[in-house]
Parts: sequence; structure tokens; C-alpha cells
Amino acid sequence: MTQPRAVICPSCGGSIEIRAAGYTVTLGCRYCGSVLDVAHEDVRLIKAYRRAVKNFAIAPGARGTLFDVEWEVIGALRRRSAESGDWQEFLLFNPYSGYRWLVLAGAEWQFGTMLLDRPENGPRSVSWRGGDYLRGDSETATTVTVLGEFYWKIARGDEARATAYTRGAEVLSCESTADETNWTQLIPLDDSAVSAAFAVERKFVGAPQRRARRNDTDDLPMMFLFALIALLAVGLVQELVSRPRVCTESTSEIIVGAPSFTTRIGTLEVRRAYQFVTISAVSSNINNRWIDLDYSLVNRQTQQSIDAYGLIEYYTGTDSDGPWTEGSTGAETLIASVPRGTYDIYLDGGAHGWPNDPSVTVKQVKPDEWTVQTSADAENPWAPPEKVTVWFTACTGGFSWGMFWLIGFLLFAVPGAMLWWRHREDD
Amino acid sequence: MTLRLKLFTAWCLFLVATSGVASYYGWSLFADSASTSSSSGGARGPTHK
Repeated sequence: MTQPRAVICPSCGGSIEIRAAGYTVTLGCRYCGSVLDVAHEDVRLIKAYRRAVKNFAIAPGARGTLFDVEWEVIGALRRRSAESGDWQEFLLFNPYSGYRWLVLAGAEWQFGTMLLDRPENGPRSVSWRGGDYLRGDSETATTVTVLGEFYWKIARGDEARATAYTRGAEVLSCESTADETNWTQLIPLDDSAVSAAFAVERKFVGAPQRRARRNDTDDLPMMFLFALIALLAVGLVQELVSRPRVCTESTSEIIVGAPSFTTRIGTLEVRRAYQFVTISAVSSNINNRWIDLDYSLVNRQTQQSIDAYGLIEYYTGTDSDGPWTEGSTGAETLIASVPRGTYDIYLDGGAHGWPNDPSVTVKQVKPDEWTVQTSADAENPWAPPEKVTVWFTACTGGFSWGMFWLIGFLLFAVPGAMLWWRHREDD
Repeated sequence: MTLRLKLFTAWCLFLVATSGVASYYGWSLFADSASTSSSSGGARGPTHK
């Protein structure tokens, strides 16, 4: 019998007792989940990661009596294979009887004893203590989660080739790695016997974990596919349902630096109870300038105005990283919930220069007539003012990209969260 | 088809239908309508570096 030894977790400072001192090489901190190498005097931190005890049917530290021996669960593993999904393995320890395994696969419990005498190999079976065990399928078992302490070095991601040999309900499990081959005899255990011996988490009592996990694996790709199809449907529905699309176009020249001016872009008729109105503005000769675009949709019948704004800004320059550009030469303005009616679309626009406005002089020659002169050009103070040309297209209907991406987020959030949760459990 | 997949399919259909209704009534959370403010009046420029 060995004396328990206490070590201090270098990750969280928690004091942890090693129950199988002298045998235990790897120890998982019960406070922070760090994996510690306790074979060294200074207790090295191998890898720290989060781990939830609640994901195991039995928490390390639990004690229970099976086959008239009191066992303590000192380690727990979650392992996975492509063929069988997930299962849990618990390392039991008794100072007089040594180590045993408790395995939860699906809703079935098995009690495992390591074999000291190797079975004799046959072509399709093995023979052990007078019994023949038929060879089943082989699979690669990957360790997903490690919790507690073990008598060998183990880490997440460790792989072993596992082959099951069956004789009735009894199984001989052969696990091979590059370094060694281990045989374990597994006999079935009644669910109630395990529940009576240990405090089994309620959600694992009688729950077909393996099957549930397989379903997780199966329907998650389908959920992503459904989300993608739904997102495409959302785009199509938005495009089709927001019709009919009727447009009007116009062009305006805006003097850079001059006070804003008002002009009429055109007239639109909204034929449905409510509809989007989209106004696109594109300028071809804008550089280091911005154009404020204030739109007003004035209902001819009621004279009520619906206001919206747009902005075109486009800048270029060169710095230590080379040439750069910023902004766009176009802007699309989406006006929502425009009621049925005929609307005159007015623009109150102004163009400005960066870093400074060109200096212009505005003179009123008649009550309704103004002249604009540029005085920035010292050699030619009478040079014509700089103008930017803007093409406007106003249409009924529209596509709300914001709504499209919001719904896309809501669609993919569900399978995305499930995928994240699954990997979080793995960590 | 699992119950979870059925529920998710219902969620997808709900969002598609919501999108259709919103488009039909020209409603969007991300419209550029300006009831209180105007874009003009402020100085602008590149935010590059």
C-alpha cells in the first residue's frame, strides 16, 4: 500500500492528492483541469486545458464497491473512434487489488481487467484460458479528454489500434500502440449495479451516449446544408418579393467647395402598400473628395417627406507601404417602408475636398442666378470651378444586405454553436 | 430525420418566411432612412493611418 502524496498544481496553486503515489505518472488537476507530470519532483505542467467533470458519468474521486472490492475512480478518459463514436473509460484503483477499468459505451457498462497472460492467436480468433474469442472489427481509438491520474503517460490525441474479440457477452479487447500491446477482459455490468456503487451522473443513467453522439455527427452537416439552402432562399425571396422595380435616372454636376444645392432627381410611383426605394449614386471623376447626399422623397398628394442620406467618398494617396485607396466612387441608399404614392425625389448635395476645400467665390448676379469662381489657381483665378459628375438611379424595390447577413447569422448560429460546444467538450 | 433537425428546419423556414414578409412590406433594420439627422455638415477624410 502506498501513502497518498500531495502536490501543488503549478497552474492554479491548488493542492492535489495523489492516491496511487509511486505509480501515478500523469495527474489532472481537479481545480483547473491542467495535466501535470508528477513523475518529476518539481511537478511539471504538461498542458493546461478546460475540462468539465460533468461530461463524465462518474467524477474522479468517487468510491464504490464492485465485486466486493471498494474501488476509487482515479482517472477518466473520453475516447472516440469513427466506427463507434464516443465512450468513457474510468480507471479504478484499490491499493490491494490494483487497477481495473469501468467502461461506458452506449448505455452499456463493462468491467475491465488487464490480462497478465496473453491469449494465443489464431487466424480469426484468439484462445484464452480454454475459451475461443471471435475476432471483430478493428478501429482506431483516439483519446479525446483526460481527467484524473494514470499509471502511464497519456495525453489528448493519443491513438491506439483496438480490436475486440467476443465470446458471448464477454470481450477481450486488444489495444496496440507503437510501444506496447495490452489485453483487457471486459465483462458486462448491470446499469443498476454501477449506479448503486457510484454516484452516476443522472444524464448518463441509461442514456445511449454513443448513439446520441453518432446522431450529433450525422445531422450537424445536414444542419449546415439546410442553413445554406435557407440563406439562398432568403436572397431569392428578398429579390422577388420586393418587386416591382420601376426606375428613374438623372445626372448632376456638383461644384466642389460650393454650398450645397437642391435638385430634383425624378419621380417614382410606389404601387404596393409599402416598398423599398433604392437610390444609387455613382461618380466617375471623384478623388480625394466626398459628396454629401441628402435625399427627400416628397409625396405629391400629401406633401409628406421621407428623408434619407448617402455619402460618396473616395481617397487615394501614397505612404511608406505604397499607394492606397479608401472609400468608393458609388453609394447605395436604401429607404425602407415607403407607403404607396407618387414621389418626387429631391437631392440636397454638396461636394467637399480633402484635406481642404478648393477656395471658391460665389456671387449672386441675379435673384435666381449665381456664379462660382475658383480662386485656388493663382495663375488663373478665372479657371472654371472643379465639378464632380454624379449619376443617380432611383428604383422601387431593393435588397437589404443587412437583413440578408443578419438572417444568415441567425441561420448558421445554431449549427455553429453546436459545433463550438462539441469542440468545447473535447477541450 | 432527428427531432433536432426537424426543429432546425422549422427555424430555417421561419426565418425565410420572416425575410419574405419583411421584403414585401419594405422593412429593414438596416435602412438608410434619416428621420433626425443629415449626413452633411461634418468634415470627412480618409481614416487610413
